[in-house]
Amino acid sequence: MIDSLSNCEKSVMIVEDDRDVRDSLVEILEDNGYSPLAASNGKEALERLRATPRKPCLVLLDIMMPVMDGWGFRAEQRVDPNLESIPVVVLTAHANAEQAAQQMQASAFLKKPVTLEALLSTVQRYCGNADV
Amino acid sequence: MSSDRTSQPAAEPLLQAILESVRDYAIFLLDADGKVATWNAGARAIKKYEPEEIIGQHFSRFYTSADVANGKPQRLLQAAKENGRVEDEGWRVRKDGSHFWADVVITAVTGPDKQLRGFVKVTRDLTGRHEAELALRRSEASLSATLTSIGDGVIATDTEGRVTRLNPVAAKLCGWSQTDAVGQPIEKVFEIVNEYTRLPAQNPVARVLAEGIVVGLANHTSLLARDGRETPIADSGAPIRDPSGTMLGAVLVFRDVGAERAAEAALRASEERLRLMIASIRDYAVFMLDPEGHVATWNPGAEAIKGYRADEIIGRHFSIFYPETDIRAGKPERELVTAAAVGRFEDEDWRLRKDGSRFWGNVVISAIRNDSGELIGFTKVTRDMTDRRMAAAQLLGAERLAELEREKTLRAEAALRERDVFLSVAAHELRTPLTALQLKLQGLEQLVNKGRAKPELSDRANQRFKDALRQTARLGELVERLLDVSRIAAGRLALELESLDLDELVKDVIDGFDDKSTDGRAEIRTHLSGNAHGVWDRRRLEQMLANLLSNALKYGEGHPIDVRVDADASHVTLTVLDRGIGIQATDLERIFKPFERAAPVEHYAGLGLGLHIARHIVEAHGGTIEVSSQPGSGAKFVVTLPKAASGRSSSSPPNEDHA
Repeated sequence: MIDSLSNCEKSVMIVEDDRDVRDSLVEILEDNGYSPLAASNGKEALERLRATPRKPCLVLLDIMMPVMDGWGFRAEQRVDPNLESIPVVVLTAHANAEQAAQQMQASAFLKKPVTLEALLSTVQRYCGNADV
Repeated sequence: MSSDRTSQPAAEPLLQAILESVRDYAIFLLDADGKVATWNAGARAIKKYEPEEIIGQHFSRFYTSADVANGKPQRLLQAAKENGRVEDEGWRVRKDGSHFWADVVITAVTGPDKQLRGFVKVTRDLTGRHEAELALRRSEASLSATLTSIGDGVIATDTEGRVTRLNPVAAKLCGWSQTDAVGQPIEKVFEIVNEYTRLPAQNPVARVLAEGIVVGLANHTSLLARDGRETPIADSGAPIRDPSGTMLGAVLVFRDVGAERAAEAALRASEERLRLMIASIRDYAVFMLDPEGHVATWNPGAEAIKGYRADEIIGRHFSIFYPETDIRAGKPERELVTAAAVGRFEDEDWRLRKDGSRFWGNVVISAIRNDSGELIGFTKVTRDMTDRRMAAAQLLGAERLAELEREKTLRAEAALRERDVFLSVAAHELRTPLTALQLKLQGLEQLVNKGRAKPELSDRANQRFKDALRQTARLGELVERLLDVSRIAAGRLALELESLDLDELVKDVIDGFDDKSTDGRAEIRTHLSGNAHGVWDRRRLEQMLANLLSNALKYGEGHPIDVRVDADASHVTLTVLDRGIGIQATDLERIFKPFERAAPVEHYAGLGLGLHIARHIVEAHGGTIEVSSQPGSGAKFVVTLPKAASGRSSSSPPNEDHA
C-alpha cells in the first residue's frame, strides 16, 4: 500500500464520455494536488494505461460509454497483469450504482451527481492526501 | 222428659251395641223439644262432644249462628214432624267451632198413640266429598270459560254420539243453541258435506267412536248450519277418555276457514298472475334456485335460451350452465355467495346451453329472503346477448376483435415499460450535466474559500463561471426537447421561415460539433452542393441536423461520418451516413417513435427523442426522411426538403414556445 501510494504519484485516471463532467473532474483533481489522466471511453483508457509506465493510484470509471463501456473496461483490466491491481471506483448516474459496482468487483462507487467532498475523500483514500 | 231418659236403659243391648259401633254416622235421639237424648261413637267422632257434655243440650248448637238466627233448626224439626222426615245438606259446627259439610236426616219418632216422642237424627260428615265436588265445579267452570272463549268450535258427545256440550263458536257455526243441541245426535247438529261433490261427508265423531282414534282434518268440508248457512271448515275429532282409558265420548273441534280460503285464493290468484307473467317471458330465462343453487323453477324463456325442459333441469345444480373452466375456478359458488352477501350479482360472460354450445349471457342473481331475513333462495334472470355481441364482432371479425383486445393489452404494457425506461433514462441524462455543474460550482467555491486571489486563479474562476452557465443551458436544452415532443404530440410544431443556404447551415452545425461535442470520436466529412437555397426554419433545421449527427456519432463507433448536400431545381437532399452498428430492418420504423431506440439502452445514453423530433421537423417543412441500413456496417438517413417549404408556417404571431 505504501509502495503503491509512493509509486503512483497521486495520478488518477478518469474514464468518462461526457466531456463536461470529465473536464470538471480533471479541474477539481488538479486543484487539489492530483495528476489526472483522462479518457472518454474504456478503449481509450486501456490504451493510455498500457502506454503509461507509471500506473495511476486509482481509476474513476463511468459505466455507460460508447465504443467500450465500463463493463468492457473492467473485463479487460482484470485479465491484464499490469493493470489488474489498480483500484477502480465506479462513478455513475445509474440508480443501481452499488449493485453494478459489486458485479464489476470495483473497490467502491460514487453516485452522480457527486459532491466535491465525497469525491475528494474517496480519491484521498487511494492516493493519500495530495493537497498542495 | 224424665220418662225419655228412663226409657233408654230399656233399649235392647244389641241395638245399643250396633249404634255404638257405627263411627261414620252420628246417630242420636232428640226429644220432642229438640234436646239431645242419646249420643253414639259416630256422633262423638264427628262433632267432638262427649255424651255427658251434650246430652240434654238443644241440637241447635250444631248449626251456624246464621242458621240459628233465621230459625233453621226449628224449621227442620217442624218439617220432620209434619212430613215424618227431613233431609238437609249444609254447614254444621263442631264443638271446637270448626265447620263441616253435613248430610243430615231427621226422622220423627211417634209412639203407638201417634204422639210425637222425639226424633232420630243421622248426620254424615261430607266435607271431603263436598270439596271434591267444589273442585269439580270449579274445574267445570274453568272448562266452560275456556270453551266459551276459545276461537274454534268445540262439540262434545257421549259414547252414543249425542251432544253433551257445545261452545258458543260451535253454536254460532251450527245454528244450534246449547239447550237445543244437547241430547241431539251429532249428525243432526254438525251436518257436513263435501264442498265440491255436495255429498254428505263422513262425520269425524262416528269414526272416533267406532275406532277410538284421533281423526284428522278433512279437506274441502262445508258445515251446513240449521238455518241453511254454509261455512267452509277444517275439523278434527278425538276420543274423550277418563284416567283409566275408558272412552267417555268424543270431542269435535272445527274452525271457520273462510278467511283463510279467501287469503289463499288471493295468493293463488296472485301467484297465478306472476306465473303467467313469467311464463309469457320468452326473451329472458327467469327461474329460481334454492339456497344451495339447485334449479327450483323454470320458464319458457329459460327453455328457449338454455335448451333444457323443466323436467330435465329442475333439481339440477345451476353450475351446469357454466363452462368447465368457470366451474373449476369456483365461479358459480362465488356468484351465489356474492348475491347472498350484497343482495345481487351481475355478470356478463359465456354460458353453456344443453347441447354444449356457448351463448353470451347477461346474468343477474338476486337473493330472496323471508320476513325474518332467512335466505330462501335466489332468482336468476339470464338474457342471451350473443347476437348483440356477434354483431359487434362481425363488424371487425371475431378474430380481429380478439386480436385487438390482445394488442390493446400489449400496448398498455409496452407503454408502461416505455414510460419506466424513459424516466430512468431521463433521470440519467439530467444527472450528467448536473454532475458537471455541481463539480464546477463546488470547485469554484473551494477556490474562493482558499482566498488565493492570484491573477491566474481569477482567470480560472471566470472560465468556470462560463462553464457552469453552459451546463445550465444544457439542462434547459433537455427540457426544451421534452417540450418539443409535447408540441409534436399536440400538432403545434410551427415554423419561422426565412431564406437560407443549406450548405452554410450544415457547415455551421458541423463546426459546432467539431468545437465541443465530437470529442475526437469521429471525423465528420462534408460534401456540399453549392446550390442549396430555400425557405426554411433555420433553428429547426439546425436542430434536425444536430440530432442526426448526434445519432451518427453515438452509434458510429468512431468511424468517419459523411454529411452530403445535393440539390435540384425544386428539392434539396441531406444525407447523413455512418459506419457504425446499423439498424435491424425490423427497427427501421420504430426508431422514429418517441423514447424508442434500436440499441440497448444500457449502452447508449439519450432520451430517444432525436430522430422523432428530426422527422417531425422535416415533415413540418413538407419533406420526407428515410433510413436504410446494413446492420453492422452503418446507417444512412436521407432528408428531402422542398426548396420552398410547403409546411405549416407561423403566419400567426410567433409561438410563445419559441421564446
